[in-house]
Amino acid sequence: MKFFAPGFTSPTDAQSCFRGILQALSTPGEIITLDRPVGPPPGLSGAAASALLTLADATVSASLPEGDNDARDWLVFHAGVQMTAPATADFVMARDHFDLSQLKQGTDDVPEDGATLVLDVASLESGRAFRLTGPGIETETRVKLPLSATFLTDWRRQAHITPRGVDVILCHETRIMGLPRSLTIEEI
Amino acid sequence: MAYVAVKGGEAAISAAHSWLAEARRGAPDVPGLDLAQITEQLGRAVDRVMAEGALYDRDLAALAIKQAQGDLIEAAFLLRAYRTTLPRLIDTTPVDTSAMQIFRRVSAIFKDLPGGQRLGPTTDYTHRLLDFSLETAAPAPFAMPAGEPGAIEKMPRVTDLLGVESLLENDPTGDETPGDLTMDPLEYPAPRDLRLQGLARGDEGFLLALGYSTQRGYGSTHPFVGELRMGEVAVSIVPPELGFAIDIGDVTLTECQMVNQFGGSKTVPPQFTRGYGLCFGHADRKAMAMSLVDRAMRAGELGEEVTAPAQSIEFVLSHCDNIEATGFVEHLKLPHHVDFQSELETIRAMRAEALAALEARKLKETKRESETL
Amino acid sequence: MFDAPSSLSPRQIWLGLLARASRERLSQLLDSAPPLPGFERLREPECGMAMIRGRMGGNGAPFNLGEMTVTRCSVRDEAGRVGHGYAAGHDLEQVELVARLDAVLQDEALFEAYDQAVLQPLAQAQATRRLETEARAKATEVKFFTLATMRS
Repeated sequence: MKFFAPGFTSPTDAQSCFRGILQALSTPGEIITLDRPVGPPPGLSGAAASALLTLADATVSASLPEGDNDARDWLVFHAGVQMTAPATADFVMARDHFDLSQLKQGTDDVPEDGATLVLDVASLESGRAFRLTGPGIETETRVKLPLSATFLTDWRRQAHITPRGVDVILCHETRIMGLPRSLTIEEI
Repeated sequence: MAYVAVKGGEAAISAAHSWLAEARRGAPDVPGLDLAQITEQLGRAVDRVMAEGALYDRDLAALAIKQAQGDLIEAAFLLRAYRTTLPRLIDTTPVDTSAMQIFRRVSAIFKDLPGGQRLGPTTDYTHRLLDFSLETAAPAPFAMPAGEPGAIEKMPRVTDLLGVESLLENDPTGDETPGDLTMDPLEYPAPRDLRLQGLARGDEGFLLALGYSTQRGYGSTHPFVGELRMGEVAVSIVPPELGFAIDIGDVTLTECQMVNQFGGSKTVPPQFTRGYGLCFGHADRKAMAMSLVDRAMRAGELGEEVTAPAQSIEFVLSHCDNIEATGFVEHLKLPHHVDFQSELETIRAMRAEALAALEARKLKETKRESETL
Repeated sequence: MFDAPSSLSPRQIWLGLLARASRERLSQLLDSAPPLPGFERLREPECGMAMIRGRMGGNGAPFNLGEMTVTRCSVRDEAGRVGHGYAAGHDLEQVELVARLDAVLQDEALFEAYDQAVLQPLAQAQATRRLETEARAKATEVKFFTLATMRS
């Protein structure tokens, strides 16, 4: 292990980030700012690093982009997480896009086994326009996100295998947006 | 089963805690207990609480004993509860008991052993007479033998010695990650690694009784103590950030190898089979009982008939954790008022029915009698 | 590992020595050493557990025996050296001292001073304690003699 940098300096920082993630997944489409993010290792946004460090521990597995050795050292050092391939990881971090169908989908009995994708994106406020509906949204929420057509296809396919599927946390700098698998995303 | 949400106990509970604290302290003119007094002078209690609390930390065990006023199961409960607040950081490299610094090492099967037999600080040869001098007098200091202290002697395990090996079954080797009953619920029949983990934290009294039962014919195994050793072993871990092994300290362990006669089965020739006990601290009784019960629970895998309680894996492991046991036994104290009300109604109704039926029968007989007359 | 076979690296040896030293003892010994450099915490001192593993029959397949408390801490000192400490028990101040010493001992120029002030006395004291225990244990060794010997 070569790269060392501090993680959360106090448990209340981690709790604050947990609260933010909880908020983001409960009210999908809302941009949530993490008040006390962790200082990220090279290659990760503060939001992505915070999400991973808040949620991962020694009982789960994670996957980072190939070549992100510093980030891997940092995450293993602080979280004790098992590093595995994306196909078997509980938490997968990627940039801009990842093929959702390549990740763990969970089972009907244990749907929570589906992976959580922590996705660093270029922006949470620009890109193609989408209408979001579903649990956590009273009527509808309109957003602009840099999500590709492939992502949309994957997302629609997910709806057919409920309750299985993947949950997504979009990250940019120190802000996040939650896309739980129960969400309906339509391009407008 | 219905539990009632009971209100109004706050003041009573507050007063109870206050009295408990006073009772725990005892007479104020008597010096209060120092934790060091407990770790230094009640070491066997500390060992037991660490074992049954399933957490090796002498100071924390001493605190639990003080808080529990000496109730060792209550103390184990406190330690076990504290354990749930600590994260599991790492697993150690398996301890090497053959590299133990030996305080005590005896064998009932061989007289002459490489390294000899050492009694250690044992009570085995005391006459079990109450020593009233302990009320006041300090003991004489240990008479150090003359001459330079020699190098520390390591002793090979009796079971590893050649003479025994060909007639003694070997334990399965390998380095597979063992199961962990603190992470996944136990399912039966449990494999041996989980059985040993369960026994190590099992109630000493319960295991002692089960071990005794095997000697009295409830699944008899003709056991001999191949070796009993007690002493300090180094504990080593390989932290991912270092990538090499480091010692984090030493623990005192007691290890018992029980050797049992086995007449053989269709597939296995006659040989000696093994029972193994390993536990925290200086605890001959616990290690020996553990090894007897370990062997008994192997009855099924050795093709023996499973007839006795000590041989039933489910019976032993479901009941040996005294914190689990006391949880369920003591919960009976909780209000079951509504439940009992319905019991009361049921009993009254059944009783009324039974009496009515009796009356009816009596009436019938009286009628018949008067008819025949 | 306390009889320190030569297969161990100096760092493995000093981490073992430091882990076994109390906070009081370390502070006391550091009084005669150059002051430790300033540092930042990479990982706050924390107390957790290590699951102690045994082997079935002593040398068979592993099993989980039970947990012990263990503390750990990682620091980076002013000169950029990274030190790690792990120790049995629950003393957070002790393990931070271990980590800080681990950092400074990796520096060849500084090793000598801390070795003299801290490591040597610890090694001496720990070895003496073990030898004293061994002397007691050895005194309880049974010297068997047979009746035939007695009769002659």
